[in-house]
Amino acid sequence: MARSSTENMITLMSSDGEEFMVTEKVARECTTIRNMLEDDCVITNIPLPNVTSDILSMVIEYCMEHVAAAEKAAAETAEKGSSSAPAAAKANKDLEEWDKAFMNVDVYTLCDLILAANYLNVSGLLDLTIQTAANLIKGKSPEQIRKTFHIQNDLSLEEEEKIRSQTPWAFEKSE
Amino acid sequence: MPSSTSTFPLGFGDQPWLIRTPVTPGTDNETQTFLNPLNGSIEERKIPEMDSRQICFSRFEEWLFLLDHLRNASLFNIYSLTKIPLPPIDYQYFHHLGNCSLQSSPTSPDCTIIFFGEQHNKQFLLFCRPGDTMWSKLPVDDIGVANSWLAFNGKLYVILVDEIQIINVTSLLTGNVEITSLDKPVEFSTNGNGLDEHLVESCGDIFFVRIFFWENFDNHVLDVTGIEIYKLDFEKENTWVRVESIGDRAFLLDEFGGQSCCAEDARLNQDCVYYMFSWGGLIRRFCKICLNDQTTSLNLLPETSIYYSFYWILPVRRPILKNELLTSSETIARNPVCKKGYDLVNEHDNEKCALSMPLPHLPIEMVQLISEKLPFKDSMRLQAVCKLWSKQLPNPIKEEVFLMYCPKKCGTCQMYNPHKGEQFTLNLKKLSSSDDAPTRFLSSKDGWVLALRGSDLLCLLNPFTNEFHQLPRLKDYYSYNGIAFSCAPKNSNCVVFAVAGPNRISSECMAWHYGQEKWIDMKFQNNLPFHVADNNPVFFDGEFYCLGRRENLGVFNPENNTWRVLDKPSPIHSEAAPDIGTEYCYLLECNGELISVFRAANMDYVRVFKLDRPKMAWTLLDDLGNLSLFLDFRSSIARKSPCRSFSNKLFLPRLRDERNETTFYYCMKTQMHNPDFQSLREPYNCVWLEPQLQ
Repeated sequence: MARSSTENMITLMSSDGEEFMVTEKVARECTTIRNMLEDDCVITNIPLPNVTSDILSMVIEYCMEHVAAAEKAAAETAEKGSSSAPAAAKANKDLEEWDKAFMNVDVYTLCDLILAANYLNVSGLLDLTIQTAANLIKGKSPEQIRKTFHIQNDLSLEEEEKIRSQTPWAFEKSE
Repeated sequence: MPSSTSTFPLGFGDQPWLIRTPVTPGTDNETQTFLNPLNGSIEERKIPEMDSRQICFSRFEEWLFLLDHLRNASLFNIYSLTKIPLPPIDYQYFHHLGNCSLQSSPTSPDCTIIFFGEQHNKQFLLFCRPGDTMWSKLPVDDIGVANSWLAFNGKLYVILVDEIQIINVTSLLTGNVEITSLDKPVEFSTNGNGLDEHLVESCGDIFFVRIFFWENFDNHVLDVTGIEIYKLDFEKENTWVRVESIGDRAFLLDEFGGQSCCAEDARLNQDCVYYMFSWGGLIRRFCKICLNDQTTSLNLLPETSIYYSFYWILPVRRPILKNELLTSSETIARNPVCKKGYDLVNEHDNEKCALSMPLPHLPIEMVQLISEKLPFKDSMRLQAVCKLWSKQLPNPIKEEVFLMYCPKKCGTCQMYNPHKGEQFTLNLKKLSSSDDAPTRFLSSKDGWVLALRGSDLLCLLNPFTNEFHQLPRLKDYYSYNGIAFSCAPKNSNCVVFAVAGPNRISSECMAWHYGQEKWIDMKFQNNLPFHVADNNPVFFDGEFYCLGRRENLGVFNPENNTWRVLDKPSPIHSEAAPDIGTEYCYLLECNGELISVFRAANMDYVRVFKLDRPKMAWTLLDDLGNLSLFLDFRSSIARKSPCRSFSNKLFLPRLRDERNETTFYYCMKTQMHNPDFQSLREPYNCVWLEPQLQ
């Protein structure tokens, strides 16, 4: 990692004013930031008014982990000429495990992460969080979904009944 | 077990094998051919105890009745290699013998070998028991020509064209044959032009298996189109009861009849019928029919230059406990396995923060992303969560195409979506039935499905909204080549139209107009030669268009109930139409155009045409742009592809294989299909469907 000392550092500032120093490579994981950097290459300080410090720190953690994994894989390929399939599979599995552990968050954080991943345009993180939210919904009734995501039921009884009666098969208890 | 194990293929005795025997005695072949049904491999082995010039005429369990060209007969045990010599057959009868049955194993006192014979228009039975010094001839009257038979419990059950005859074998010795008869179970119409019937004994019960298929003029079976299985209820005065499942058994059928075994013991799939077609033909197909999901998969075997028969050898018999067979099968939901890549968020934590803080508001685009990741049923439920979601979330099934298949007595059916590769079960109470009448899907349009219940009752149903419309009962059994309807049965625009082409000269049609209490039956003389193809009409521009076997078009006008054959487009095949079963054709409507598709049964070629309406000629299309076509003779659907990987491709009703990532397709650009379509599971009772919701 000799190059990292010479690598550009970018400062990201959260909505609550906290500053995070990250390498340009990590920052570029966020497509939104990458576009900013490509438009204006001298920019070093980026305010992110939509992301709080605790969420931003998590996004950075995710990006760092994925950059490190990609670098490791690239280094192995360069060393051996080609990466061995079992090693690559293991690395992928490790990263999946890491993602899984990373997603052990409450639903509040999950929603914030979805919003941040969408705003910063981190496709891997968006995919991961959306899938996690989907897993959370799978098999639940509308009432349970409302409870999970704290959604007010603003449908009248008649409206809800109408929706249910249009496709009753979707509301049967699954086998 | 075989004494010289090395001469047998590995695994002989543990699983069923198919053994090949020449059709005419004396065909000189040094070895016996063994076919492994589990992987399709073929092994040539020399069994010294078996004279390869002998042919097998009948078998009972592991006993084979062999006969050579010198008329020497013997019983041979394939496992112990024991041989029991029998007296030779007298020359004067030899050339007048037909089918033959071996009644039980030689260890049993009632073991008898019975030949059906006919000489000078007089029928006779020729029979012999082990230990006899000669064959006995017994003249008989009223014995029909047997198609297949079953030896069971001292009786011989013979399937004839219109009934089953039961011959009491012990009565042969008295010189007066005792014959009783039994009705065959009712036959519900299905697709195809051929059928095969067999009796199978399983755990003391008798089953009647009827298989429907397409065959060509050489009696080569090309495609299995359906199966009916009935169990004989001894307690209810020998009535037949239709069964949807054979439980943990597997049935093995060949031209000698049917046998049953415990699937697990024989390393076969349970609730499946293994069917070897061979009437001495050169092309052979081996088919597995799975009753649980109502699918077939075919294997084409290597072509041989000599006419041979194949017969099944069951694994060494093991004691079998009687298992209760299911008369109404439970649905085994085959939900796709969800990838357990992620842990669920800890529910307990959610509860804690639930009370205090309002959740960040997820924009509808994010909810939509979540919705796309969900199975259809879950995705559908999101619509009932709140006003915003109900209004803003697109209906997940709206743009999709489904293959509806596997209707069961209990009213369930399967919905398969090729795009997501997802499958789910729908519970359609209106389709459940207490009687034997099966439901058969015939056609679809605008989210509605036309189904035949039993043999004369048609109904329209919308499986996604649970709407149901019963049509007037038909005067006779449903027996049409094609049927279609114009739109959902909501107003007088709805017309159901069916057509049958008994020949090129005339067309028989029937139509039902919304609100009417009767069907109108019509018979038209064709103004031009027209033979309707096995393909459904398409409602197009206010009329029903029917594709002919030579790619011309017949048109029915529902307003004035008239029929005309168009002089253009002219036939594509200039000479004769292709043999039945060698080519499949489809007609469909797409963005105001008529499209026809012709494909070889083996996918050697696929041609797509568009009707050039000003010129009234078929124009060959080699690119479909971003369209996908979902093809089936019951109804074909053209759709803007849900994703790029579906563009410019044709899809057939095949289920995704566990090993494959995608559904079967044919790519117009590369003119290739993804591999192995012959062995993919094909539902035999299905229909493509594009949902339309209110």
